[in-house]
Amino acid sequence: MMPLLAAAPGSVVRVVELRGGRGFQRRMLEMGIGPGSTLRVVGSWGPVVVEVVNGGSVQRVAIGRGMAVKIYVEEVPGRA
Amino acid sequence: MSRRFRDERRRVKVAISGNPNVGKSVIFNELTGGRAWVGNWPGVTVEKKVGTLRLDGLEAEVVDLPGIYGLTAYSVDERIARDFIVNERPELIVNIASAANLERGIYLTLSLLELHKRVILVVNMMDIAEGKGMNVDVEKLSRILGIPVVATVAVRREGIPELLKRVAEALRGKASFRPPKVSYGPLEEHIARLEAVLAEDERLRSRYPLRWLAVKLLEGDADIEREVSSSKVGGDALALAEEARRRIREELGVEAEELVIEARYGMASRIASEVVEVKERVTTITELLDSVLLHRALGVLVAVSTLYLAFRFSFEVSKPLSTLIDLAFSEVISGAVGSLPLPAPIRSFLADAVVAGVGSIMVFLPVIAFFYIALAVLEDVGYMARIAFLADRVMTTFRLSGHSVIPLVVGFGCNVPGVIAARAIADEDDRRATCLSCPLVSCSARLPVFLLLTAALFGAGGGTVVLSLYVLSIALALLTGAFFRRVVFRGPSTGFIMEIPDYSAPLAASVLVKTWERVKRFLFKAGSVILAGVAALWLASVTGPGGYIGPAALERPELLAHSWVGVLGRALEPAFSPLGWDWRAVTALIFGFIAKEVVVGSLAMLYGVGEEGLLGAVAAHFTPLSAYAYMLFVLAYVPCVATIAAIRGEIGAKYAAISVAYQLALAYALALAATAAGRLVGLA
Repeated sequence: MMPLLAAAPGSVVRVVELRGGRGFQRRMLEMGIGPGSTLRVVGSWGPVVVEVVNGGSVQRVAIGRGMAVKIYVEEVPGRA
Repeated sequence: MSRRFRDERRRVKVAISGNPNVGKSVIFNELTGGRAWVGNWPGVTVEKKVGTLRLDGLEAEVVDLPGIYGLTAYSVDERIARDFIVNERPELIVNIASAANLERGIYLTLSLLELHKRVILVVNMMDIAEGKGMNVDVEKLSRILGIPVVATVAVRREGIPELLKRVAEALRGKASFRPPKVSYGPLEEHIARLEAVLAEDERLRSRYPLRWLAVKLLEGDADIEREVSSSKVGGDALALAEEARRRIREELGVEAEELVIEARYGMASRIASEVVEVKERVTTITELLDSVLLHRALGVLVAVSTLYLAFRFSFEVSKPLSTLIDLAFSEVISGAVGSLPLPAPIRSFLADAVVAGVGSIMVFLPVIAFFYIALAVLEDVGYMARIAFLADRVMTTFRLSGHSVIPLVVGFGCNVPGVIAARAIADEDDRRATCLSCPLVSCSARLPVFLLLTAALFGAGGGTVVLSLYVLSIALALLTGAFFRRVVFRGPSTGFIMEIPDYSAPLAASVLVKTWERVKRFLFKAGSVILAGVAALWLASVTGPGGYIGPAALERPELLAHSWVGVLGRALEPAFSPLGWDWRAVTALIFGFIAKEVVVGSLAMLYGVGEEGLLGAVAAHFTPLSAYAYMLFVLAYVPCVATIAAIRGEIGAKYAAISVAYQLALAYALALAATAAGRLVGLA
């Protein structure tokens, strides 16, 4: 498990835990980012850009570094 | 026809709601014909847009709710939306979702449906979804949600006639709304018990769907707890909810709030996967473009060049228009007014205050309008979001976030719409710091002053000097933000999270509406304040400690020296003589308080020359060093009156006063430092 900030660009990760206050958790969940959701890391210079993959829809979201350290993820092997 | 619609004492209301970036404003324009008035939601500085829908003899007020993701108490925007729905009881909610991101759209739809049954869902951006290899089955979605669903590509007007038809049907009471219930699993028994208790209160029962209220209590929604606690069942209901949350925590090891969101999201997710068919995963144009435009080096290069081009575009294209307007005011209109058969003081007031004031505002209109057209195009294309993204890293080193970039860039046109654009920043501390740093961005009104002084004293090197001032202005704005964020608004950063929209072609109507909204702020907000300021200064110029001097003071510097303005300029002269400026230069700065470009005209008047003789006069009264110090001062000293008024409107009188004091001190320190440094290296 690692913070999203540490995930390699191009990798696919699964969110394990959101370590932040209620407001933070809420904001993430409403962006479709919660425990179990799948993210494809696009790049991380400045904010981390991820594609939130939910069912059929894909949405690009930029997440500031301060927030990206509070999102704990694990890599999904073999999917890039 | 529904009961409410027949009630003529009350205008029928239609609310527009949706996630950010789903084309809400385009659909708002389609429903209202683009005519809207803009105000504020009560008590907060979030913009409220209202227009009128006229359709088949029906008339309704259309209200554009802020872009939201849910209906919680966590964000101002979401509170506004739900208060509106509860208090104003719109006849209909037009809920817009993006076909390319349907799941999150449906999450909001389900949240809305819990509070309000009459919702029409618009699945917009069908073309983008198709471009991504996705297909949305709208009829199936309508069956599952039990409400009318319309597919659109709003920017191409596809599906709009169908939407209008559905809206008319709904307003006539001919549509059916049978939304499904979100099942909250283990929470259901608690919901039922809470509902039974809440039902005993007459007021709550008439105002809210009780199930919604019960769910909100289980979530621990602070606003709703307050609302319920003031009712006669308040004590019982809150105790019951508290007990339920405790039991859920003990039995299931999770917060009730999480269960609520999960249940709703789970349902949204299931519905989305049933109606969205993914044909193939395709690499979109957006992805290709972003691989360059979001690149750490190339992206920044493109961003800086793009903004520079936007500037050049606005200044070059508007030049002929500005010149024309300037001529019209300074020659034709003021000449005509000056020869009117009126008493001299009134004639002078009209010509020197009213016409000159209006003229100085109108001259800037073309530059500002073209600049905002360029910005609106960049915003609509989706590029401004990339700029915010690219700038976030730099901004965080200055304790701001990428969200502050747009207000600062807007400030290059005119600081007033810049300060107001800061409203879009959700973090209160960030917003205030941005409001205070925006006036240091060099607006287009400061440029004429720079151009005059550099032309008079720097010759061929003038361009570099002006550029140095712009670079300095950006640095000062960022440092100011960092200073206020560190010293005054010290709250923790809530961080940066932003959707990156797909690129799309700009739409003329939307660009024009956006441009007009900003230009209007410059024209009316700045205009009225500038006009009042010009009038006040006129009065202070034609009167003095010795009484009435008369309009001749505006023609003859030796008379003006005895006016209030002249006296003040002379009194301040000793403070500025270390910088090498005489009382006339100082007095021109007082005039510049109204609007910074006024410094140019004032210098001409004070040196007793026309605009044509001004270059020589300036060259005779300044040295390159004192001129550079003067430009530094003009760059940084007090925001103009209109900007001060805008800051006061956005964050209060106290901070407007702080802003004035801070910038005066900063300007003086900068000018003094430049003068000292210049003398040290042997410049005169």
